[in-house]
This record gives sequence, structure tokens and C-alpha cells, in this order.
Amino acid sequence: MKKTPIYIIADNIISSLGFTTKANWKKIVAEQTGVTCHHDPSIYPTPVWISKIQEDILATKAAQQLQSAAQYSKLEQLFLLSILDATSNVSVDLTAEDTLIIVASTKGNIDLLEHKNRGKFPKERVQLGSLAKQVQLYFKNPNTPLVVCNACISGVLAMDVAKRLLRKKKYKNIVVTGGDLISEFTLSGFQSFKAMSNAPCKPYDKNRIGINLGEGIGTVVLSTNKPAHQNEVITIDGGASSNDANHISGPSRTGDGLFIAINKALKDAHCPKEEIDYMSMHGTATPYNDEMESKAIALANLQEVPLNSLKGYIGHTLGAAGLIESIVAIQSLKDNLLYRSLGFEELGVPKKINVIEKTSSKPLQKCLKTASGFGGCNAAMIFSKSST
Amino acid sequence: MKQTTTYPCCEIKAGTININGRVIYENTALPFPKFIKGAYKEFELNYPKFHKMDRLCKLAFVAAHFLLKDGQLDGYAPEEIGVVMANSNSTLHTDSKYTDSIKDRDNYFPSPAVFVYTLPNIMVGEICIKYNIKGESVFFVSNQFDKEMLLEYSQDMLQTETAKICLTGWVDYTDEDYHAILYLVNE
Repeated sequence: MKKTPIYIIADNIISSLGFTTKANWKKIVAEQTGVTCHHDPSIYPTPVWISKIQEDILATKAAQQLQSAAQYSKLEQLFLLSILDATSNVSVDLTAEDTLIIVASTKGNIDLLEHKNRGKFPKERVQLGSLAKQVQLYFKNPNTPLVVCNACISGVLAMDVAKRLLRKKKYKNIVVTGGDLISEFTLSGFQSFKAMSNAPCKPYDKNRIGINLGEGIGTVVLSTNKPAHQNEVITIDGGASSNDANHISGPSRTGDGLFIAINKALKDAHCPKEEIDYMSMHGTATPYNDEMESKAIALANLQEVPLNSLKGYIGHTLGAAGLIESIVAIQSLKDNLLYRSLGFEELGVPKKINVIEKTSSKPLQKCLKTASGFGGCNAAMIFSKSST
Repeated sequence: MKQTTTYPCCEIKAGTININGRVIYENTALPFPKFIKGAYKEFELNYPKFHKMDRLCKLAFVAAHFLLKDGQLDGYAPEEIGVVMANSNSTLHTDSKYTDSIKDRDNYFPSPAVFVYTLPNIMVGEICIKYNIKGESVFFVSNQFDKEMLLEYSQDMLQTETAKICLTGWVDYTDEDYHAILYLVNE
């Protein structure tokens, strides 16, 4: 049975590389990274390599574009700005009954719980439901937003939830926004796991030692209505999730969990694996994650397909990662351009995989996006480009 | 599709464990840690990893036990079993404990064993490990327990053959209150 097409009609990225998708894409194509060494004792006692949104630009944009900006936390401001930009050129009515907002985040306003920030905002704003309510009220949307909080797959999973609700015809349009901040909470946590790299991260490389954390927001506007006046459209063809059932803080040693998610996503999209032109992977640059991904790729028999990780450009943006990386993958489809997997020099995973070493042109139609996270969760999604 | 009232259900709140409307364990005088440990011993859960879990995971784990302990998932492949769960406070209790460990730079002791429990889907992971569940799962956070939404979402997973059986429900923990209610959504 033919499934309802789900069109990605607009998007936005906010990261260290800029405040629009275009600004981010321009820097990625130029192979510029936003990961730098920060020595800011207010966020961490020692220097850390991270990707941070520029505070002064955020303050200016919030003051110019938001009503009563001071009422909103930093993360809330970012969500509002991202949705404002994503919806600025499309005719989606955010106040309509058939429009829903889905928020993806791992820790939301967790910075407000840190002792140094207590009392700055009402206590309940630490709750993700209350954060999402601020977004809902700002845009006068009539529906209680859904919040997906599923570790590092939150962004991809939130789009998969939207896919399910749109196919069921519960809504015509869904705005999916995902975001997380750099906070002392997450920095110290990943540091305690000894998962952080003290240099720009190197996904899939022999000398990779860990992640760089990043902060960012990604927003997509999804619709069951085909966009008018466009030569090409991008659709979500299928998606799936899975669990490793192996360990709460370490990835599977076999890759079978991610393999299950990839297989289910391909099946959901009615897409033979031979049609996948490109893969945007999770690629955190921790030894175990990248090793696991190579095994899953081998199990799925996708070893020849070119792949990259965006982590070398903007770090690991947690709840935003799946959204931002999907939006960048969609830019690749639109421009028929595969960007270099920054930080990669020499293959350092047990199974041979095809890591993109040089930014180059290639005709592209279908892309696979994957994500994996704590709790043993995995997600995969298929995007495609077609002519109208 | 069945009426929601006929799904097997386990509810834990206010010192009481209730299965399909019948109270099977009650100890309303005890604070949560002692109450849940008491239930763990009484019903001989015998799972050493339980003692490493945070309070939220313990609550979810015990609730799931009563729905899954008698081989209810036998006959399903691991990837056919789904999990749809939600709560309102995410991992607030452990988040607070963790922030206390980093408030003082001269007494800084962030612990990975605590940090790992600052994601609510970890309780889904714990249940998946115990029962070898590899299917689709999602964790939602909402201010209110929206039972209809969660059941409808799970039923749609069954109808679209995303899963053949689904563990669905709400598990919330704060210092003031706790509430777990899980259903086994089957055809």
C-alpha cells in the first residue's frame, strides 16, 4: 500500500556556524569547523573543545525578533528563533488545529537547575513539558506539543513520531524542533565518562579519542500537502527505531541493534538498499560508537555507500543532532554535493566503510540517516529527492 | 482493537502495587526506597543490576516485572516488541543529585554512575536488557499523563505492523510523589 508522502517544506539550523541553514551549509561546504577550545570557568573548570552558539548574535537576534525576549530562557529563545526562521517563507498556519509542534531535547533547560542559575526562572521551567508550553503559547498553537526525550536519537525519533501522526492523518503539518545547550551539567557528565576529546573530534579515524559537545537547534516543517511551485521536493520515505538490549551506557558490540533499525527503515520506505546513494551517520568519534556503526553497516551490506559524520563541524548537539544532520543531508541531496567527513584521515574501525575524504559532487537521490544513543537506542530514516 | 480496560495493567503508587485492579502488595508507611526494596524482596526479583538503578528505573523495572514475568513475551521476536513510555519530570530526582555533585568547584565529584541515569529512556533500556526487547521504542515527556494518546500511539504501532505487542505507560518519580502505570498492549 502506498504510504502518505511527507514533504519537508522548510528548515532551519542554528549552531556555532550560523543562524540559518544557508549560513551553516556555506561553512560546511568550505570545510570550516565551529569546534574551538573554550576556557570559560563559568561553564567548566578547565579548557574544553566545544562548538558554541555566538552569545552576542543570539542576544541581538532575540531582542530584534522576539516579543518579550527576557521572559524566555536561552534555549527557549533559540527554539523560537529557529521556528520563526523555518516558517518565515512557507504558508503553514501555526495557529491551526491541524498543526502540531514536536520538541526534541535530551536535557531542555537543565542549566536552570544548576545551583548558580537557580531562581532566574520559575522552577517548573526545568520540566520539558513547561518549556514546550512556552513555545506553544508563543506561536498560539492550539495543540499540546509532544516532547520526545530519547537521548541522542531524540531528533531523528521526533521526525519518526511526526511521520506516524501525519500518515495517520491526525495533522496536516508538524513543526519538529530539536535543541540542547552546552551546560556544565552535560560537559561534566561526558567528561566523567572520559568520552570527551581534548582536540577536534575525528569520527572513524584510527586516532579518534572521543566527542566534542556542541549546542544547536534544528527545525523542520513537515507537511502532507505537496509544496507548490517547486521543481524538486524532499520527502521522508520511512523511519524506524530499535534497542540493543545490551548495555545502558555502551553501544552494542555487534551492531545488530542499529542494523535492525536500518533494515526496518528501508522496509518502511519500500527502498531496496541498492538505492541508497549516501549515508549521514551518527559518528560521534568515541572508539566504541564508531566501531559499532561499522559493524552495523557491514551487516546491512552498505559498506560501499559513501558516508560522513557532521560531528567534526559542530560537535555532538545531542537532541538537535538528528535534526541538524538530517537538514544538512537534505542540502547534500538538493545540491548533489557530498561534504568531507572532517577529522577523518585513516580508517580506524573494524569493518571497511566508505568515509568521504574530499568534498565532491555526485548525483544524489536517496539518503539514509542514522543515530544511536545511551539506553541502547538506535534510529534510522530515509529521505529522498524527486522531481515534480 | 480491544477496549483499553482489558489490557493487562500494573499500577504502583502510594505504597501499593495493583495488578488489573487487584492490590497484591501494600506498605504505605515506608518511604519509596524501602518500599520498592521490600517489593523486590517479597517477589524475589533476584536481579543484581537492580541495586545500581536510580529510583525512577527501580519503579519502572518493578512495574514491568508484573506484566512480563510469566513469559508474556514468549513467541514474539525481540524486534517485534515495542515500548512507548512517558512521564512529566523526566529524571529530575537524579538530575538534582547530579547538580549537587558539581555545585562546588573545590568539592567536584561528577559520577558517571549517576550521570547515566539523567536520561529518562534509560529505564526503557533497563527493561529492554532484562527482557531482550529490540523493537521500536519512544519516550515522551508531558506535564499531564495522557493515557489515551499513549495507548492510541501503541495501537497504531500494532496496526501498522511496527510491533506485535507493546509495553506502554507512565513512570514518574519526584521526592514528593511517584506513580507508575504500565499496560501490555496486544492484539
